[in-house]
Amino acid sequence: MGKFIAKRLLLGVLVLLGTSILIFIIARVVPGDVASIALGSRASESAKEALREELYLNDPLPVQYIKWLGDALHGDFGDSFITKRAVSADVQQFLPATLELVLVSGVFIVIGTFVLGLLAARYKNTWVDGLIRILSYIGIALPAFVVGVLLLLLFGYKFQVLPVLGRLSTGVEAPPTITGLYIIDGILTGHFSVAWDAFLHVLLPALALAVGPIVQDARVLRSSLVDNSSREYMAVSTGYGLPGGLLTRKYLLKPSATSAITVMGMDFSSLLGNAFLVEQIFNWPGLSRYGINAMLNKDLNAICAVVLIIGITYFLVNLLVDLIIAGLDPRMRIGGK
Amino acid sequence: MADTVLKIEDLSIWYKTYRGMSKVVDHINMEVKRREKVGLVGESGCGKTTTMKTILRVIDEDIIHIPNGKILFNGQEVLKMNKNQLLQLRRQGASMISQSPMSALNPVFTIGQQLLDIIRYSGQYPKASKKEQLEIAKEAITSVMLSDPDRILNSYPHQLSGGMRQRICIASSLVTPRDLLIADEPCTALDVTIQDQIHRMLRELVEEKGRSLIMITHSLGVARELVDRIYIMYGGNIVESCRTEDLFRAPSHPYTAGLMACVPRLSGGGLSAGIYGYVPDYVNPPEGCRFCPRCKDAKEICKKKRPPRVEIEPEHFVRCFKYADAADGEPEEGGAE
Amino acid sequence: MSQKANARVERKGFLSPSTRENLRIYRYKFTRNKLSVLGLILVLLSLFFAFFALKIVPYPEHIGSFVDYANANQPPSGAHWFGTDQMGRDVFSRVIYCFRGALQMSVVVLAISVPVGTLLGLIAGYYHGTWIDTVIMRITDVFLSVPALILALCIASILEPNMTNSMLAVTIMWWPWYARLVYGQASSISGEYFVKNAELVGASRMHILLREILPNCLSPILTKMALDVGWVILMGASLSFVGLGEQPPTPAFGQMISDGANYMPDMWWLTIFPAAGVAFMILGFNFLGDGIRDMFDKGGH
Repeated sequence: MGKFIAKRLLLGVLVLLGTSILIFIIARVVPGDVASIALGSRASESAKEALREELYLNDPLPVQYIKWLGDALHGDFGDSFITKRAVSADVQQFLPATLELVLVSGVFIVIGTFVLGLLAARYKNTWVDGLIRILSYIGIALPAFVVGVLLLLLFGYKFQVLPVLGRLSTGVEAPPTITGLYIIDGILTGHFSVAWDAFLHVLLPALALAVGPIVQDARVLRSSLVDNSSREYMAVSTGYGLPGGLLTRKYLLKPSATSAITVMGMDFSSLLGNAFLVEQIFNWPGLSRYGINAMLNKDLNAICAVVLIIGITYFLVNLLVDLIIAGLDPRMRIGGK
Repeated sequence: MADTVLKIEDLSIWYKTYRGMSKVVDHINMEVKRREKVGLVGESGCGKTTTMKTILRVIDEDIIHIPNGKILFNGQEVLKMNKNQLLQLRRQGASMISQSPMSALNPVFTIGQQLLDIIRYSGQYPKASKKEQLEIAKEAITSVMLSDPDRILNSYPHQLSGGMRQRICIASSLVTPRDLLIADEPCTALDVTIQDQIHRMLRELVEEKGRSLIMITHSLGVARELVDRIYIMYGGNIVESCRTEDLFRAPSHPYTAGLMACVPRLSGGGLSAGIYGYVPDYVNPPEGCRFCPRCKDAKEICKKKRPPRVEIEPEHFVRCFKYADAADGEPEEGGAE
Repeated sequence: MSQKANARVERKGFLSPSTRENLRIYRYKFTRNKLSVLGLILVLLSLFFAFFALKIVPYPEHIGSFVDYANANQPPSGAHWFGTDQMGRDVFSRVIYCFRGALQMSVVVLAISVPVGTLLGLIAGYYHGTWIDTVIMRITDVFLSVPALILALCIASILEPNMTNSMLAVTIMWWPWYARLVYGQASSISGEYFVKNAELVGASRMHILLREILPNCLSPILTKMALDVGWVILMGASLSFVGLGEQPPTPAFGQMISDGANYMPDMWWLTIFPAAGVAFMILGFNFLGDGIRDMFDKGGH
């Protein structure tokens, strides 16, 4: 297992190095005159020259890259062209909100997938199964940003039962920072009402991100449950008189869960992407909204930082998924016995 | 009644297919006494496995239909059992060794985890501690001539060879006391040398523990070595049943005679005569005797009426018009459906 | 894309009766699931809308920068099936026109990314285990290491925001999927006897790649292409939702949804109908893709 993790980590670091080259090319080489973009075309030539010096733009490209990467590894992504603050400070401020959103929708996805998938398999070929199948088509057809807009309208304006904008209601103060995730901080420091308020705020955007993956992954889980239930080993275990609940919970669910967890890992990619649009819709002050604004304003330094952080997050999630799968299915353990 | 473990009376089993009902098992009768070893011999696809899976009710009941017949296990009607009686039957009445050792073990649990669940839920060791259960499991592993039971209990199925897995399947069927063991061609997937070992071991274990055995096989040679009585099955019918020595002394049904001619002899003499044609179509089976289209002794009557079951000598039953008057024939039932 | 596949099969159908029999099996497998047929209908309708948008819409001039404040903000009616927007333009006409851009985008993106990805995957798969394999597949990994939408947004934003650049951005993100898919197929096929045979009789590498290995990778490629048309449309809509696609006044799905969202919920028709348009296309191509997969599926009766 240790060997497996080490191998994955090493490969991941190499790929991330490649990712950094890609980002460098996109943000430093493709745009052309970075200094003009940063300062505006009317900026004085001396100011531009100073910036070029600061961003190593006068060096040859490979040198530029190495210096840029060296700074980045120290957490120095330069200053934002827009906010004029250090990008790292901006990231520190906005990252927790995105993590909170992504974590909550991740929890929704896991719970929703397993509940709906088990229901659909348990009541296969009944109206329950049919309903979940129809939901899955809707989930495919509606992009997350459309779901977001619809939820915003339905719950925020039409019924007005849930807050729709920002992380906390006006007048509610953020809990003391421990993790930066308001729900967790609120619970840890005993500000339960704040935690609840934060949860209500995150509910709709998290749902907008989770709905599509839930209904689609539930179908994957359902078909793998149905497939496996007709396997010989299930008939054999049934034949030994094991109770029905144990058979489903243990002997059927464990081999079936891997496929659902694999697609959840793949869906995480689109979830991170969709967060860019959903945060925009719900005015969620997270890294993704910061990132999309940086993109729309050609804030090159901020773009680099955001994309690199997303890449790292994505890598870590994939590693976690691989570990879970290796834990569930011994055949996946590379380097095992 | 006490010395009859299993009695099948006039049982038919149909599969629901898109072409209509597939009448895979057709009016069969069978009896297994206590401590008796019985063989069920026939080509692949003649309904042997279906019948056996129905005894334990581990067949997918959504896709079969049982129009007539009874299965009595220790006097109780299996087809009318409720959930608890069924669990009781599977835990203490009968167990089955699967045809495919490669797929009969759950791939994501260790042998130990699977074996311990069987022991725990058999209800036979209500007071055994975890450690005692482990001892029972180890003993079962040793009894099938596998060394190093500790290592095997901690192994996953994919880490073991086919022969080892088959032994483990046998061990798990024998680990707790049961009246009847059904062995469904346990050696088809294995090397000839291992086949012999496993057959011998199976016989010894069954005799030693005082079980009854139903040995399903397509090889008359295997049956001859192992069992006291033989049922010959063709196309869903039991065409001949008698004591083993009687069968080899006087094979009476044309199909049995053909089967014997099929066995190639090590002493040479060219390829055997064999039986021409294929197993019948079960959706539209021949109107009269199911073997009729392939039978070299077929007469007019064989095409029209089902042959009756005739006792040609004590305990020797044959379904063939060679031994009966045309007037005794029975019309095919349910043929119009 | 499926059209092309059908055409090829059909042409062979005239050649030999056995191919005609195959065609019948394909048709049976495809039509077995009614959703596949529905998908085909939706896709044909989408194609129809896309090709004849200007001829069939009631108000072709409303597609551009047309202003008619007298008729602004009207709910759906007989004259304007999907209502009108804040400038008095007919939403139905604009939504139908969006099909054109969406389809154009997916055709361009797939027409470039599929051959590129396939070729790279073929080469890497054939030279499985050599440095060529390593270089190509690691580069592929790099492109897949960041969620596709984010890199596409990134690229599209750095270039001028317009339709061409958004297509370029999506194309750059799309080829790696095909490289990975074909790589998996090709690396297993290149070990088969018929490939070794072709090598032994001295066939050229080009011949082996294109004539021996490629035909055996076609069915998963075609299936993925049909499904991907829907996903490209989705990604295009996401880009245009944040303003990085077709620029106003020319309409696009994402752009219309995002503009309409400002007028919700009172003027719901501005958002709901373009969203339904996207759903229409994505569902159509998804069902069609599932149908094609069933068609190529070897087992199952």
